Amino acid sequence: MIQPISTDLSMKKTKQTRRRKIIVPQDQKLLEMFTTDIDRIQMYIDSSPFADRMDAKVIRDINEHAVKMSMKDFDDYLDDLEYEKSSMVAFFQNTIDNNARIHKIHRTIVSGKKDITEEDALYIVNWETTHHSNFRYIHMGEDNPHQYEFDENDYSDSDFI
Amino acid sequence: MAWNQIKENTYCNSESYNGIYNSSHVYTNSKSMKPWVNNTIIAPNMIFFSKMLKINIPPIVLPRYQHNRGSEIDRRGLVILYVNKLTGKSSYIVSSVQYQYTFDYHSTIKSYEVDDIELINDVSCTCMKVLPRDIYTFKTDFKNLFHFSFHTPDPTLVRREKFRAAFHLNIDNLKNGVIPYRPFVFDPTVKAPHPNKFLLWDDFSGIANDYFSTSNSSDPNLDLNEITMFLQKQATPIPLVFKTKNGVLLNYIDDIVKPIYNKIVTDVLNPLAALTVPRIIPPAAVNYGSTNNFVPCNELHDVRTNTRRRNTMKNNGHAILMGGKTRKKRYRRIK
Repeated sequence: MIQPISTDLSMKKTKQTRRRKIIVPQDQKLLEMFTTDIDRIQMYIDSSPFADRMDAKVIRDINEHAVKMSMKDFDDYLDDLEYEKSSMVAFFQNTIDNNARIHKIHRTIVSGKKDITEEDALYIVNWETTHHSNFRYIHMGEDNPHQYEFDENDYSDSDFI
Repeated sequence: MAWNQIKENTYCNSESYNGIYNSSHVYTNSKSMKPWVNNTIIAPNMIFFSKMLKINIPPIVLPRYQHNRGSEIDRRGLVILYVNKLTGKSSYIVSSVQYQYTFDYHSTIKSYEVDDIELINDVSCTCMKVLPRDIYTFKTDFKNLFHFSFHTPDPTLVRREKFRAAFHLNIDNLKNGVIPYRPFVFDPTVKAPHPNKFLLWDDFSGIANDYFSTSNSSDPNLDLNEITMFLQKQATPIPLVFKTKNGVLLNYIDDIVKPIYNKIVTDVLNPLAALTVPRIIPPAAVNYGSTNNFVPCNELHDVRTNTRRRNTMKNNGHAILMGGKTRKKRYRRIK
């Protein structure tokens, strides 16, 4: 079980409420991103300025799949989810990661006033895909998520030409 | 960045298909390509990717290769994914082929703990293991091999920022100062009432050559990063053609990138174009000439209906790529 989490003393003021930003130690971030403890999930959601974009039960269901599934299967699983649900993953994970660039991208998306840039779109895609892969490697011992079938004899040792 | 007729044609064509964008359709159809991309392109070509990127695939498979590059020791555990993401309710859809790998890193000046993040060779990497003798195992974040981008028109951008078109391919791992691209282009030669369609890859060296791409490298000032010209002008940072033991040549562009591009045209974009009623008439395109002058977008639309302007352009040496309305056959009444 993850133990105490320090909180940032600077208060984040939003329209509705003052939210306390949670600072998660680096070595606990991946575990927290994929926690299935609904109380902790709710605590993180409550700390986020994008709380209304997230649902604790949905996050818990997604994380229960994330813990059990290989990276490839989890990616397929997310593909099959409705957009509203799959988009919660990035909002939730950045509540823990506190990545300033992702936060800014989310603000742009939520405001709906202008498009995010292509570079930002690519950044958020790569950022999100990486977490589950690293989580599986560090905490679930998944060293080799993909097995490919091929005939090595089809290839020589020659290099590219 | 010098502007030219190919960029103007591409920008103008792209603006004409702005109206057909439907994020739900593009997202759903590009996701449904995933099994095909995985089974037909990625899985059978893992040795190709391994050798091209100099990263071992899972070590139990190819133990005899060890790839070192600079500070990255024993680059291994190559994973390649085809990923689709919708970012924002109606903005970008990105379909990307990404890769990630693991390597060992020797550091005496700085020590790391598991989960620490370090920028190594300009890529964000996470420490996975701490090994003896100041060696650390790192895993890179996912990086793009190439990606397809689809988005709504952005009126805040000037046309010089739209030379790749609103739907396009960027081949990120060939970046050499600039990233080569290939636009998705509404075929200007389709005649009504046939449904709109997009050009396939080989059309760029066929009917669209010198309109949306060019293999004419005689103009040293031609500033174009479209993939055909890019490959002629630039040395790619990695080799692209691999010869298998059976003598078969595997080409990164022709055998990996092109089939996916064409599949997106046939499975994602052409069905999207067919949904749009009434159909959109794309602008004509004018051939590239080695001159600083170019025919602007409004004239590319105008030339379709304005015969006089069309003839003037032709008299000025321009070739025009366009379709037209199919004329109904008229039968003379026989008395």
